[in-house]
Amino acid sequence: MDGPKTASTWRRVPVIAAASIAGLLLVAILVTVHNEQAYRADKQSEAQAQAQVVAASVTAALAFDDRAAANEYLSALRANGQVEAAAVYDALGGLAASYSRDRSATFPKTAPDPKASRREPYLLVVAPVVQASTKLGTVYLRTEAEPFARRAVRYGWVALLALMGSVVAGVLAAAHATVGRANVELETRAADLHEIATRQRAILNSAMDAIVTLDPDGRIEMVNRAGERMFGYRLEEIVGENVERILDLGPDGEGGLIRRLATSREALVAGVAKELTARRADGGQFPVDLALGAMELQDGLHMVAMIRDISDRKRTERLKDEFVSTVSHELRTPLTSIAGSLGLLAGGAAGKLPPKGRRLIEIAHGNCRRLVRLINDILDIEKIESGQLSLRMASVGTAELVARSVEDLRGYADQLGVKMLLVVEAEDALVWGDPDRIVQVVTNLLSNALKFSPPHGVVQVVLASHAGLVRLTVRDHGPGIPEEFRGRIFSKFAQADSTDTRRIGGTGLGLAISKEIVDRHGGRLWFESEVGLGAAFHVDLPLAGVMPARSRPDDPVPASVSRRKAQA
Amino acid sequence: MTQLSVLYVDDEPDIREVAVISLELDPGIEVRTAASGAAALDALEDRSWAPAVILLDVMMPVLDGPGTLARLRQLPPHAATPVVFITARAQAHEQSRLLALGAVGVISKPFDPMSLATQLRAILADDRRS
Repeated sequence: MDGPKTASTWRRVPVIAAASIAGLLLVAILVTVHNEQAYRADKQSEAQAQAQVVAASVTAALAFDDRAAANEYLSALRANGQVEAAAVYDALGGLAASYSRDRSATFPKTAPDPKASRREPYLLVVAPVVQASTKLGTVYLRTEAEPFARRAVRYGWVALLALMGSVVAGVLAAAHATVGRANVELETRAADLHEIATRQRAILNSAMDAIVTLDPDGRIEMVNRAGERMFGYRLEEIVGENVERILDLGPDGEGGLIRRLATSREALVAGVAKELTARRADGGQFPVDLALGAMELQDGLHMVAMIRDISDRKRTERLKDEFVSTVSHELRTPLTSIAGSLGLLAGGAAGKLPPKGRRLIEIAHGNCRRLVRLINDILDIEKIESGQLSLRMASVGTAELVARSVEDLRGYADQLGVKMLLVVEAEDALVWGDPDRIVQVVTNLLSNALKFSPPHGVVQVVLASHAGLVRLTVRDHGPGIPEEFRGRIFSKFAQADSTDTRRIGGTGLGLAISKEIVDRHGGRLWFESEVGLGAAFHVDLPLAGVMPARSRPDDPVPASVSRRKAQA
Repeated sequence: MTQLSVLYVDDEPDIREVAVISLELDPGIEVRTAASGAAALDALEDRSWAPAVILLDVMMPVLDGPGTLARLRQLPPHAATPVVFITARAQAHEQSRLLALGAVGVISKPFDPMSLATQLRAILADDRRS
């Protein structure tokens, strides 16, 4: 009951018609031949009977050689309109009497041979005039025969009528069958379409997101129920309106929809997602996630827009930000007093302490600082996981950043009795990055190296550039990284073993954060290590250029920033 | 060491105390404190004393650090007094936001008490040079 079948039914019609016509023609020819034979036989016998009647009626006249009577008998033939001419010959073949319907016929003096008139448009019959076994003469009767051509034309008409009748009947029958089938198909198809439409409507209307379809000019074609609720319009109020009535496409009021959405036809076909501001009928605005898909139709590129109200998500994000910020502030405030007091005590600001008291203050101070680092790291991890780690990119000199990190950690290194050896081979190498975050990475790697170095050990820091990369290497000569720990060294809260935490005092977050920062710079953080011989961590960053010598910034100030530094 | 008068503004009394001790490790520094933005503005009404630098906590109730700075800029004698923010919000983007408000520097909390004075002097020296 589908399309191709209907088409093939119609394609068979000419074949059926041709076969029918050929059959009909054959029948017509046979019927014509048969009819012709019957017609001739009929005419012949009819004329023969007439001739015998004439022969009987003229017998006496001929016996008495009464020619006038014979002529009178022949004249009676006028009653039969088909007899064209008639003649009576005596036994010697002389013309005894004659009749002509229109008086124009001529008769031979002797009896003609009837066989010679076969193809004439008339029939010639002969009847002997016999009395008591004696042949007195012959009657010739010529009757009009309708020409075959005329009869053939008549047959033709009949055949044609029959043909037309049968063709009409055939076509009607075929058409009826096809139309019947087509009707069934149409009904089935209409039912299918109705079902599809019902399904689609149900799906569209049960969606939580607004679904809007747009024509190539950006006019709204359809809005589902969620869309009506979201934007505060009824379907009939918004259909045909420009999509800008409900969505802020961007500041640019010019250009086609695709350009306004800062996308391309290709991207649309693949699917585009955007965050935009939407507008309700009452003028209220709210943030939305927009997913766009393309619908290539005959009149151009239509679009399907799925719109999700993300007000709640935004509110939650804001609340979480505020919470994290508040917690960090609330934790830092008491820590500032504690760390400050301990720092002053440990630094001798309150006078000289007894050795045990001094040691205890140092322990408290060290752990206080660790707590501060932990808070910072947790904030960073939280930012990374929520995708909010924002980088303030600038063209920065790596040598300066590395020097700043080395300076920052000098106190710590002195405390551990470890030497730092800085080798800068790429003094003017610039990278495109966030200086604070790069310092964070270098500081993290350096403090790890210092932590794991044996007493009086040396940590090498090498800054080199080659093949479009700046490579910073921090190498220590500590115990190295155990084989089984290498796979998860960049995971959160990763520590080689549980005793490490206490002995080394890290948060287990530093490398995870550093890796994320380096990744976000388009770089690579990796390591080489041999157990017992130490470890080398490498940071590869794409080279941005070479810094002009005179604009190199001055020495950094740790733990604070100044306006001038930030602008440099 | 040049003489430096500092107004330290913070709503946390413990931190104020630690900060005063820390700053006064530098014999050239003289510190006065205020417990709120409003108290700081009151203290500046006193014409007999003018600080060379104001250290302002950022998160304070009622009138916060940035609010205090804005009001301060409308007091003619102190409109140009350098302000250094001191904040427990250590994130880099927060620091740049504060600098953009017109501060000459930002110090993170917890600060290193033994070097707080040095940090402050370095920021001021840096600012004078620019």
